[in-house]
Amino acid sequence: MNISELKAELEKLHSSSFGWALSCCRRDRGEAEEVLQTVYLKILEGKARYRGESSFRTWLFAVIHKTAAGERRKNLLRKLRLVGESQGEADRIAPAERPDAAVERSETQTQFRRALEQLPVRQRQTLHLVFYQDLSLREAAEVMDISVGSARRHYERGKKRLRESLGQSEIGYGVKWRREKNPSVVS
Amino acid sequence: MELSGDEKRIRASFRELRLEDERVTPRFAAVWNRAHFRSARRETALDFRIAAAVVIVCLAVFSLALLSRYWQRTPRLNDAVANGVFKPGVNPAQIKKDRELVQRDKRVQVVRKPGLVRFAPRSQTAKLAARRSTTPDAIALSRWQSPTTGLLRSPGDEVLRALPQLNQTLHDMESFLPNRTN
Repeated sequence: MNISELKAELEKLHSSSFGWALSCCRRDRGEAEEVLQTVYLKILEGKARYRGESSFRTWLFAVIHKTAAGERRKNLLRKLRLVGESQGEADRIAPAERPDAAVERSETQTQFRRALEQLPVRQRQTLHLVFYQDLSLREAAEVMDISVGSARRHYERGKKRLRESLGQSEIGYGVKWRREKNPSVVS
Repeated sequence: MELSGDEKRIRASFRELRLEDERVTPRFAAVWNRAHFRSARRETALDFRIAAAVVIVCLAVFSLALLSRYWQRTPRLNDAVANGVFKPGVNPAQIKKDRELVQRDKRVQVVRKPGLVRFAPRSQTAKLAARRSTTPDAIALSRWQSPTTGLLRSPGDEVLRALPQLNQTLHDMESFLPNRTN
């Protein structure tokens, strides 16, 4: 695959790649962009080479996953070094969300995101690959470099936990709504 | 695969999340160009690093060559000392000649001192200085003879230094014995 073909493929998958990078970087947009840039750099320099052993998308997502893990380690070390120097710097690095984006988002979506954030990393990533990227469990396992059995386990547990947290938040939301509307009904 | 109600709900939530992410996705061209720029910058940095490494290696080789040249010149002094010290049969003319040779070498060393100080390691310099100061003394000491050496000689020296051999005849052995009158 020459560079122009590679570029066309990457452009096609750019949006999905960014979504996967976001998931690998705990929804930190800046970090996700940095990871994606590093992935493209690796591809340009030939450090990451597609050999056709799997689908292009699976291979690209695996590269993003590995790069994000590396970047996370680097950032952790950088933050550890910065802890002694200034707390303000660490605050600046933390992801910031546009205020209007938070307002626009529906209550259900906010609950969903909160529930997703509470999941362990592997479970969250498996659910992301299956539901967000429409990959099969085998492909998800390949991306995450784990066995299909482990991927299935993460998928089942993640789904169960997500269902539980959404159910709990729904009950809580219902109680809150009823309390606001009719305080005499709910004690 | 048949999706349950919960799964449908999760999928719908993920779809909504995807739509939201698509709104904030940076342009592909921007990310790709930045990666390209980074790649080019890295290559330049690598070239600079290689050039710096080559310069360092050249400097190291040059200084090693200078040092080896210096060390090749210094053994002359040692040779002179070695030849003088272990030569048997001392005569005053030879001592004088040796001393002159040592003095000449010392002068040569003194002239070359700035170079020596610059290139030789400190320990080597100290050793050289010590050797230079002890060389004439060493020659003098090795050739020194006590004024009373003559007094230690006696007429029976040869007999005392030689042992009787086992295959010598009794008659010959008698020559070693004092005269007895039986």
